[in-house]
Amino acid sequence: MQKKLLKKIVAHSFDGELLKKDFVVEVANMLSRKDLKQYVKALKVVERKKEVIISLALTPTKKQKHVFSDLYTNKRIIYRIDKRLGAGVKIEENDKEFAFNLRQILDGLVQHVVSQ
Amino acid sequence: MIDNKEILAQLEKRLTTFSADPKVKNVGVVEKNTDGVITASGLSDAVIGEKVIFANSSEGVVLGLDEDAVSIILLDQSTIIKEGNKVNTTGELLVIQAHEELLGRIVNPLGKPLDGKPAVKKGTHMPLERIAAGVIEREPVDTPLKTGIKAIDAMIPIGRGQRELLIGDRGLGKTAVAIDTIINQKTAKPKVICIYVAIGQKQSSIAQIAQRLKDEDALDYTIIVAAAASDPASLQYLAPYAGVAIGEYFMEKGKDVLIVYDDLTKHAWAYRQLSLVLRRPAGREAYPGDIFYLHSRLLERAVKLNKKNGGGSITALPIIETQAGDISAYIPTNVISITDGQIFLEGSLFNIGIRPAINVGNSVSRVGGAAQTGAMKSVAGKMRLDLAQYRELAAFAQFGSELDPATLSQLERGKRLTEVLKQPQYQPLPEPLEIISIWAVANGLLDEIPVDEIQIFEERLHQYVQTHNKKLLEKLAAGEKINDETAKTLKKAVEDFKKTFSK
Repeated sequence: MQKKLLKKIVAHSFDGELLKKDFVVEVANMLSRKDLKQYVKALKVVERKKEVIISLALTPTKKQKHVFSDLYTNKRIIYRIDKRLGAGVKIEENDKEFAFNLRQILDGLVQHVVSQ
Repeated sequence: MIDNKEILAQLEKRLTTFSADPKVKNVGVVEKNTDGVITASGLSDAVIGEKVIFANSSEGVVLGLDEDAVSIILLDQSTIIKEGNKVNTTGELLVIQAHEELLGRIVNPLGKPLDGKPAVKKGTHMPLERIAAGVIEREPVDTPLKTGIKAIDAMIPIGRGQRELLIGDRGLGKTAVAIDTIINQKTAKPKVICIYVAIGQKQSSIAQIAQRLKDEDALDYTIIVAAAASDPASLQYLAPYAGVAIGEYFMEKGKDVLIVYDDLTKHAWAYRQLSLVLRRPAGREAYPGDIFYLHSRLLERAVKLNKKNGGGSITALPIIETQAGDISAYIPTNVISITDGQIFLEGSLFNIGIRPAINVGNSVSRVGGAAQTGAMKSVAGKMRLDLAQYRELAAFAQFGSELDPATLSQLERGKRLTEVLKQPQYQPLPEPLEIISIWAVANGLLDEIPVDEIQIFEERLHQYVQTHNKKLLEKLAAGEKINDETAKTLKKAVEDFKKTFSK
């Protein structure tokens, strides 16, 4: 399937923020296996762009959630608990990753000392 | 024993330069891994040539940017990259660490040691891709780079900062000429640092070359950058750029550098492989459209800088392997048009025992006499003329017709000239000895010596002059044009030796 056509179909698959279920099912039935894979992948990419994954070492407090929702007003925030971070936060938005946590600092420290 | 306090002091010193600022990384996810090319989504900030790191610490380089994906070439084929693995950009282009400690070492194009010794940690990070010095920063080539090979130094002279191509079929001695040139830099003044870039060669061949350089005490001023046939095409593609990056480090310090690319044919093959796997459009002989640019941007970095910019130079000796002597093929014609001359090695000459098998008629140095000392210039001109006349007459001689005495003597002179230009491998000659040999034969002093005794005569003549006439050697080493007095001394030395010579 051509990329242009695929983009059009994906654009039409959404009604604002939500997926049009009937439309998606209808399109899926018409596509070949290969094209269907591409279509699903494209839908996932669009969905991912609407999300922000925030990883924390501990459960976020109300205040913290408030801060994050103010920062990412137009995005769906997904909170994950990752005890390996130690302390601090890791924010994944599209293909950008902002990291400010104890694990990242300690890893960086070791690499810095070893590389010298 | 290292003191605890010392360890702590070292650690503290290193920690002072550490920055704990938050990091923003540009990450991607591996979508496909086909034929050594990784297709990753994300990485929207990636640039061409940027180094990327995978989750398992293996490295790659970005070689293709599409609308929603990035093509990455792995620099280490042994790692397993799976779909879904994370990859992030580093913000760095590919660099190699260059330092004086690299002299005598064998490294891969990423700077990792291949000789079992520890990695070089000091030095400057030199970018593999770099724009060549501009016109204003350069000056004309005027200093000879002596190869120690009579045929080359006399008739196809190479200057410091020149690009001279070595071209010929397999097994004709292209690498031998390059290695002899490196060995001859042992006595070069000012000193020349040598870099030998092995691209796509057998590891046994690279090991042999390293051993030979070591035996000749040439490894001390040589760096070998090796991407063997078993290495990924990405490393073979990067090897020449790594070599010239190291060369630029020394050149910027005012040093003269000689770099040998052995060979660019395999370099072109590696690049073709990468381009086809990246699905770039294939052109003539399946090479990508920018195959010319691949070599032109490499060879343009061989330069002679002016005094204001340090006065250093990089002399390049690229090697191209032809098939059945076809110098009009795609890659050979490309590189011939880039370089400042070529030395053409011919199979028919090799087979009749003329080694080095240099076809003087087809070979040229576009720098010419500017890269020769006055002494060599004065003897080489006559020899070149005599050889050219001999080549024309040799064809007639084959018809077996009766020839006049003048033609016969010219033929005999030509035979002796050809014999003198033969030279054993790994025995480069200092310029004074080259001049003595060429002057003696060009002025007819060897006309009475049988052709099959010329080589022994020459060897013993050199020994004789080195023992009995060191002043003559010093005079010739000064490089000044041969005047009447020097010519008389030369003639006397040769005549005196002839009296004592017997086979």
